[in-house]
Amino acid sequence: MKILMTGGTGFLGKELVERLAPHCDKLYLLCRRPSRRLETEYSKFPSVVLVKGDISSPDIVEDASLSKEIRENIDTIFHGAAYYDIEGPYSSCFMYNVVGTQNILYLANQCEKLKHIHYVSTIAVAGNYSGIFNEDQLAEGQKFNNHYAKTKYDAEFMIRNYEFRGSIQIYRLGILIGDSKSGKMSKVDGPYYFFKLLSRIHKEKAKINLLKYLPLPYDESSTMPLMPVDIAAEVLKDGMLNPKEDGVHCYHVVAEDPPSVRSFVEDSLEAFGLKLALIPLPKSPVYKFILPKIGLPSELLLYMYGKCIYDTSKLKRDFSSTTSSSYGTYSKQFYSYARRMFE
Amino acid sequence: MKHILSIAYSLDNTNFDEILNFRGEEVRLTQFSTNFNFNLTKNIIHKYDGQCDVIVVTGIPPKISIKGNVFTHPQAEKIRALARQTPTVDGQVVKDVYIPWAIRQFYLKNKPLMGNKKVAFYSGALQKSLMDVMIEFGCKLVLADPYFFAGLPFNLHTPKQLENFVKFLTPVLKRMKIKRSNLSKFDISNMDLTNNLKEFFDADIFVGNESTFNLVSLDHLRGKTVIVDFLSPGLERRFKQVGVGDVIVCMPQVVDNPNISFGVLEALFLSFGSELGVEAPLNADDVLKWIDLLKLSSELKELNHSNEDSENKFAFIIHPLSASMVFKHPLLKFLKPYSKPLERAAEEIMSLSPGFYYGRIKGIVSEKTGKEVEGLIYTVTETPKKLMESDPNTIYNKLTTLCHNADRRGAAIIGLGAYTKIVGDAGITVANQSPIPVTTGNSLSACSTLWAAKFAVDKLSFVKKENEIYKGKVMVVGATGSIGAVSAKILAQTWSDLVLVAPRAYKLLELKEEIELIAPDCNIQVGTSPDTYSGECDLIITTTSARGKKIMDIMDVKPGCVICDVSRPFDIREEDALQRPDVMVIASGEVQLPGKVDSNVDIGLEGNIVYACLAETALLAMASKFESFTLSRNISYEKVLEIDKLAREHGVRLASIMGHNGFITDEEFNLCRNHAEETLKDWGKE
Repeated sequence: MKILMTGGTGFLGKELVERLAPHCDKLYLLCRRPSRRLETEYSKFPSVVLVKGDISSPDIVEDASLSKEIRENIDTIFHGAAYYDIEGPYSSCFMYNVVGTQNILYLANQCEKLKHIHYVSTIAVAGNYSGIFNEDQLAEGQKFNNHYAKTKYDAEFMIRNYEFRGSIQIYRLGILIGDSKSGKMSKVDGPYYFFKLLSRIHKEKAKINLLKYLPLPYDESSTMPLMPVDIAAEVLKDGMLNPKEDGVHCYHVVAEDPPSVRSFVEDSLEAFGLKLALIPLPKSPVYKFILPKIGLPSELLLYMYGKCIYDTSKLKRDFSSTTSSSYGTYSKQFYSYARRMFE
Repeated sequence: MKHILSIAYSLDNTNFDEILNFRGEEVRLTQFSTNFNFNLTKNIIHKYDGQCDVIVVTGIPPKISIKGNVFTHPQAEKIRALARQTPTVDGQVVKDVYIPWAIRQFYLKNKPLMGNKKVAFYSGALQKSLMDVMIEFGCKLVLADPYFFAGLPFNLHTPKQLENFVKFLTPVLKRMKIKRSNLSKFDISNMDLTNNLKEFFDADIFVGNESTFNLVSLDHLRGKTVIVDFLSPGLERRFKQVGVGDVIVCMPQVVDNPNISFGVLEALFLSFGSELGVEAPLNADDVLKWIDLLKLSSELKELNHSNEDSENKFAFIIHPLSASMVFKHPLLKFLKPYSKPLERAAEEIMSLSPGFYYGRIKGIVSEKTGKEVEGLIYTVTETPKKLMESDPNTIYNKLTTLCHNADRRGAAIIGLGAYTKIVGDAGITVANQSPIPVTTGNSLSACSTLWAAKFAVDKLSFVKKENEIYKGKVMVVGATGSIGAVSAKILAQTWSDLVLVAPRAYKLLELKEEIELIAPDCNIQVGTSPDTYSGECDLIITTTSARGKKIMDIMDVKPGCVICDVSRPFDIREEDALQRPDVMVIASGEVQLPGKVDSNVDIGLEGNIVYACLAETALLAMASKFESFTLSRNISYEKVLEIDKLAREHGVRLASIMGHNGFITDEEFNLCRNHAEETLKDWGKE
């Protein structure tokens, strides 16, 4: 298998390369700046070739001969690179998510042996959709509260409408959290902002516990679509090693029985030694301004009041072996690592 | 490979990256839609600057030159100057040369389509060159620049006015950012139209460029002619959705690719310019060279949308039955106990208000074609009394306004319900002023009455039938009238004996001759008084204009006879009818519509059952027969036969029979037959 991979140096990408590289004949790993550090890191995999390139440039790969080699050889493209910053400006999100994806598709046009395209999307493409969101649904008139989601939506739209003779597999990832066995997490993102906040205040837990109650903006019925990063990587690896038949296939890569926002917050408080009863606050536009003041990204609100249920029937059908992960099996490691992370 | 970057400034989610073929060479065309985001546009252009051959930016206002003064939007100017190495074009040079020339060519070939028409420009300023040519064709201009740019509710009509307007508004416009929300959307569904804007929406031809159409709501374009510079696949889809009539596209088919806009064309002209000695910046002469080289011409693109999609709506006008209706309104409910003395005043006040949209009726599905039609119900505010008293011209105006409204909402035909069709000349004036055909529904009313008569005769089963011919006697009272004559002609085909009764004998003989021609087997008698024959008849149709005067003695009528009273007010008074329980007096037949009819307003009847006049309108819509089918008080034999045939085909059927007091039930029929059998034993013995 000869693969061109984008986003292979990121948080999830690293996990994936580790699992995938031994199975590949060639793994062209696109990165903007192939540093010495990266070279040593990947030197243990003989199949990995670091390729300098930028998906937002029209020709992506700078080196013309390498570019030609890639176009002639690869049979699979894994496009996982994205501008992931939910507070990022529209122009940056667009440059990498839309322009980048379009450039990748243009490159795909020129690869004669290409049979499979794997694309990493996000459940955020469902926007403010309420109800059960199918793995086949996309354009439902939903609205987006951040540029990241909007541009990922545009990009998935392009991928789905791309005329391709082979298979296209789209993976809509849930909220990535640390390793399911060790809880290890290498960056602060999503729910970890919340842990960061808790780690700041838990030293005063005796005083705080006197409060007894914690009013919090969330809805009792909302859930957290979490996904441990190693399981996500397993799903991707499995999907790439056993590609599906021609056509578009989309999966919601979300762990089984996701915790409700309530139990998630309660467990987090417990992990930090706080004992407070939660009081859900009704939705209000003011939180958008308050949350950043206490160090939480306002985009969290989308999940706190989320009314969308991400259907995973196709994921269960096609990846039954890899997704057997329920909240109970990883929550302990998750919270204990989160606690240690900020000490 | 040559590479062209196209930025659609006013679009969202319209990105592609394709290879196209121009003069035997491959060109890469990359488009990004930046949705009015200046920073993003800047980033993309900087990324591609020097890496591609030409950059195209569309969707930004062009340079407008009026009388030597050039107006440009500073932000558009900034965008044009973003690239330092790669030339930037916006297609304006090609447009200025090509479009006026192409449209002129088109006009010379298709004069009737454009000459002397009312032409609406969303913005004359943005399409100055096209506007100048259209004036030469003798078109009447309506320029909506004030509304488009500033939401001001008036239109301009001459280039001079436009010039003043642009001069006046330039300082303001220059300070406004180019963004979607600064421009009007022309959405007719949620705005109250002032007369000035109505003038705009009533135009025959609408002119805009692709970016403009992408920004406005298109509902008002149904059935209209549209002139557009470039028809992108997305816009074509939207045009088809709303059912635009003709689309004149001023875009030459140079490259077999639907995404080629004028901007891209200009970019191609520029990047392939070396063979013609063309250099940046492109000028008018260069474009002429290209037009000459490529042998370009204009083309008319007709959107082949199916009729079923667009013409599935009809409209129908009703009126309140009495002034007490107004006290059913939630806000006026508290007045209900005192409503009696207020009714007169309420009636007066109500009638001052114009008619309005009342509700809709859905789910009518033809049994023949499966076409589903939807009805828009309008109401005028006059009670029957007011309708009869008022000046007909006032009512005509109200009805015509509703016709225009229905037209805008997509109705293809409109029906006049109940008393609205007997005002003045019964629809003729309204039909003359209405943009869509008008029908009174009288043909189906007459038809359904005959169905009802037949049904009642069959139900009582006193008349024997041989080879589909009733062996009995039928009498038409008022036979020389319009409905009488038609009924007589139709009945003559299925009855063995026919009696024609009317006060004027000479007309009767003429009618007799006419009927003998079409029904030679029928035995026809004539008379001036019904009483002579009433004792022998099995069916009596009365359609006189006796205005409630007694026309015949019901005591003489044969037991088991069916009297079908078509006249309004009734010829047979209710108390008279009660004296003869052995005679069935029916007033009309109501019909039911095919499909699963669902209406959000109460129009008097239940389920699929509706008044025959509404059914006729729906039927004509189902049959796609958009003509003023029945007008004036006269109905014709041919029309009734035709509507009868259509009704059978599309599944409009008799639902129930109305007597003086609503529906006649099966028990009432049984009761009547029993009574008749009783009295028949003694009949004729006295």
